[in-house]
Amino acid sequence: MLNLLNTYINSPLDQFEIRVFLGFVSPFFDLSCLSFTTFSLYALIVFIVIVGGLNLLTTNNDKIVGSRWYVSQEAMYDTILNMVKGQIGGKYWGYYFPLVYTFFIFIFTANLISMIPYSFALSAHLVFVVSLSTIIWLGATITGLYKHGLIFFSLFVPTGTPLALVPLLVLIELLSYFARAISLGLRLSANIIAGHLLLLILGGLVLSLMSVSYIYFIFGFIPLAAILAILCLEFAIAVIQSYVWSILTSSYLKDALYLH
Amino acid sequence: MIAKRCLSTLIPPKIVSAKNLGSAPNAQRISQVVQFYKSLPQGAAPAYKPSGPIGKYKAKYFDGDNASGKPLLHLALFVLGMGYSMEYYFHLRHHKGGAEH
Amino acid sequence: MFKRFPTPILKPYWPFFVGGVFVYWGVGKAASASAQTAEFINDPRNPRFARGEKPVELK
Repeated sequence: MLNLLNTYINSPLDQFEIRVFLGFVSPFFDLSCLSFTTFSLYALIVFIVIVGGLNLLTTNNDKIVGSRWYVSQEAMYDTILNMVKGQIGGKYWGYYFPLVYTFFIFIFTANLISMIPYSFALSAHLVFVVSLSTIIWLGATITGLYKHGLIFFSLFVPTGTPLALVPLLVLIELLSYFARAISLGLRLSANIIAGHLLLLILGGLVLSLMSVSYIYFIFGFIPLAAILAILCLEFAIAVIQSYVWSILTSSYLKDALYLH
Repeated sequence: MIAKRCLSTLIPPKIVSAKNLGSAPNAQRISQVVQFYKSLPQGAAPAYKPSGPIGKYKAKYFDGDNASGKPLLHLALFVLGMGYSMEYYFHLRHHKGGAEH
Repeated sequence: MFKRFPTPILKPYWPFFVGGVFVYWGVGKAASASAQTAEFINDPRNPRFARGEKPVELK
């Protein structure tokens, strides 16, 4: 009989588990914030890929014209540059481009590396991603308050509102403004969690279907093709979500910098 | 601005010619220019010598006509191998032969 | 190898650093508070056990 399957069942959530490789905890001192974990390992890989792979290896030995790999980097840079310029615009967009580009390239690389089998999804960790989005939101809010003072609160009154509606609209706008802190991170993280869970659950189902008998093995290729289609969709989501993150970051920054 | 310029300023003076070299008042400058261009390296640029394992890898997969998508495959294989060996170490070796927990 | 760009870092980004400090502090508080709840206080992953503490008897 086909033995594709070692019959044991893991929770599909096991793929998100963080393991400690090198802990610094003992009864005498607690430096668990310095522990080297799965998360640190993949963050290190992402960092090496971005700095070493995408920047250092793509330089063209001091020639003026870049190599072909460099074109790929320029294309990404240019896409984000034009996006930030279009979203923020005005006098200040250049100051905030490095922030948006750093976030884009990090989330882009982390998402794509997480699509490798047996890999680890950095952006599926809600605490991490929601913390990042809250930092962006707090930073944008402090920027706006520092730049405009109390006039910043005019952001919560849309132009041309009848006076009677102002209290209600301020309430709604304030709510939506506070929700941004969570929703920016939740959007990315929920997409990645859902995608990885879906792939693992469907893959497990097809694996047990195909290991029943030879007939099922042959017919199992039909759902397998569907999983392949979903896999392509997940790659698209990985790319699109990083773009969405950066476009929303720049639109929040625009709100704080120019107030409408 | 352009309308004010007379025609003679648009035509470049004929200076770089072997006959004028000796007689022209700026002959000294011309010979300096000639000396400068003589001292520049000539012919094809020296081939870039990759050094170290990273430089060799770069020359093999990133530079010039050698550019290819293979580094992405190498990255994927590396992460796959590392992830699988970690998974094996933490999980799979405890489940050999379909044994339960 | 690395190019230097004369972009200001501290001037436009100090609000984000302040936000980072706040979030780090807040998430740390929330994490240690949730580690003390009845649901997680006897969880084997709780860092208390790495420090050599004993399981707590829950009422």
